[in-house]
Amino acid sequence: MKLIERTGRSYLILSLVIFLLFGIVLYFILTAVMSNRLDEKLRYNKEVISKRIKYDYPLTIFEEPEILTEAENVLYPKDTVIYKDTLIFHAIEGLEGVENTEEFEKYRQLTAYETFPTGERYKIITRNSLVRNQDFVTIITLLTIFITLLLVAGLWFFNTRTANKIWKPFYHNLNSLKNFSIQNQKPIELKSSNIDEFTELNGSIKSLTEKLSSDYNNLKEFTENASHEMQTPLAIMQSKIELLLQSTNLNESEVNQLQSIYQAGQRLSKLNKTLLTLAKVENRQFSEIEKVNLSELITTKIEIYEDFIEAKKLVIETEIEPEIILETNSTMVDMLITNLLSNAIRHNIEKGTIFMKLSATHFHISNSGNELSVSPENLFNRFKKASSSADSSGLGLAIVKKICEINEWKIDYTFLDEQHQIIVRF
Amino acid sequence: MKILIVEDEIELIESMATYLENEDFICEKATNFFDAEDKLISFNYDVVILDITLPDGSGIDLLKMIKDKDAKVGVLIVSAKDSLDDKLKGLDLGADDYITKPFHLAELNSRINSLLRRQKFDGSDMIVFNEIEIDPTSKEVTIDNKLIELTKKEYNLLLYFIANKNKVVTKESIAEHLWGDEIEMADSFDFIYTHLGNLRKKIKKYGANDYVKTMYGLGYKFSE
Repeated sequence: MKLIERTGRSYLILSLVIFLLFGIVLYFILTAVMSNRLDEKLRYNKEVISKRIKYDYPLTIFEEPEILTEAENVLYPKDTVIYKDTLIFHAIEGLEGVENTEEFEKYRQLTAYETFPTGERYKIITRNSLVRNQDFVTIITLLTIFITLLLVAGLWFFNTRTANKIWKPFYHNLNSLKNFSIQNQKPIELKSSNIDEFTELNGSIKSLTEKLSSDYNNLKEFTENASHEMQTPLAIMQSKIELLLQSTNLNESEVNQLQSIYQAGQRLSKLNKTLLTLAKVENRQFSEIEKVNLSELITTKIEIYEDFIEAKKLVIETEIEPEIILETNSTMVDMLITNLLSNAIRHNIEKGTIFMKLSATHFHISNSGNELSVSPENLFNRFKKASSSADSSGLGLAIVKKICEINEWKIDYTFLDEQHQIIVRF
Repeated sequence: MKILIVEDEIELIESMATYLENEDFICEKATNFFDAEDKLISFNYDVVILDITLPDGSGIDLLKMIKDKDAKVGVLIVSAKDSLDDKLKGLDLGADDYITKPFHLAELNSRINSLLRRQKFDGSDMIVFNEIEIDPTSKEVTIDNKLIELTKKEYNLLLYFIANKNKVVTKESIAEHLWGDEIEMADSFDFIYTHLGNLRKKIKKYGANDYVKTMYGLGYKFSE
């Protein structure tokens, strides 16, 4: 639920409650005021009647004035006035063609027991119709409802209009926050607003993203610097072992141990180089864009890897459209093809196959091989490797993925019909 | 042949010097910019091995200085950074070759040898090892004056061996020399056997001795 809707709903409920209460209170006050007036009138009528009885006795309107019964005399020994609402049956004879109406109508009634100086006691009843009152209340109710509806509509209209204006920068900023990527190095663009809360929020977002970017850059630089710093000690180690190997008085076991150290050192320096490459790709150090003839590049790469392809007796099939030219960085494309091809060779089976297809829209490479032991989703992560063999750093596909990300290419892996398939869509 | 090694890491300088002195090079060492500048002004060298990152200056400036003084001096840049920019900048400024740390001493030696060969433009400089003669300009190999046909890899392998004769050359360094270091395949050692086997067969066929000795599982030594 949007904040506008949420607050709007609260306002709505609140105003409904207030108007309902207002309506009820109004109803009661009006009824009270009106019945007061009515009672006054009834009392006045009663006074008129009692005066008539006093001075104009016997009453002209009644043939036989109603004298109190014994029971009533007992119940109301003194002068008493009783107000009550009562229903009285009306039967109005309709005119020609109109039906008779029969209905109960509400009346306000005053019953007075009075003792006159002559000693006689009378019961005087005066009534007044309440129908007019009821009409009045109905009108008030309708009016209240009408005003409430008007208010709600106005509130809604006003709310959406101002809210749209006020929240516009917020939604814009939210969108740029969603699209913010720490990797593309662009600072986040925020629209300013004259609402204090939003300005504060923008400030916080800005400092947060700046901090994030600088931390990320530091981390990236750290990888690169650390790798660089490791090169020299590695060079010393390697050169010392190579010198030691030249000495003639080593026995076989010593040579074997030296060899182990040497090979471990080699592994370390290869890993280090690959890490460095990955860091460089991530740091976007290969940013020079040029025209790269991918068709030629792939053909050359296959030639370079000829020895390795022949050694495994692999059958290589290609469908390479000539003169496919991409505008990108040549070093990165070179790395991409090298990594994919060497993977296809390395993780192949003896007498397996490699199939490569290049068109203007995509590059497809598939090779025979055993199913992966890692899940395909993790395949492109660092240090995820299907085999624990020393020759694979587990970084090759991470580099491939990074290169695709930077070039905004899509890469997919599937394992189908005993074939590892990788498709890069340009 | 006189070589100046400019490198701030003493241990590495020692290794390089030991290996190269064994090859009858005369090595001088400088561990900082100041020393190197001093030596370059005072003496003449055939080759300078130059580390770009020095504690008190940039190797690039030294490179300019060397080339201004004598453009014929071969300069081999050694760098911990294999960034393309550094490489291109170095080569643009007249460096003759570029090698990244960590490197194999055999590779370093081979690079220096080919650098020295290139310096002598006459092309009459034949590489001779007993009955084997190599003409680096035409890339022809003769044994007892008989021309033998070698593939590119076999030729490179032979040249590498002769440059590092009497030295144990590791399989790793051969693989890197023949295929470049971007090819990281453990099974590339199998291909060394293939190419080496072919090379040995061809050399024997033309009546030369088998100079290649296997050193345990570690590598090979090309010696009499």
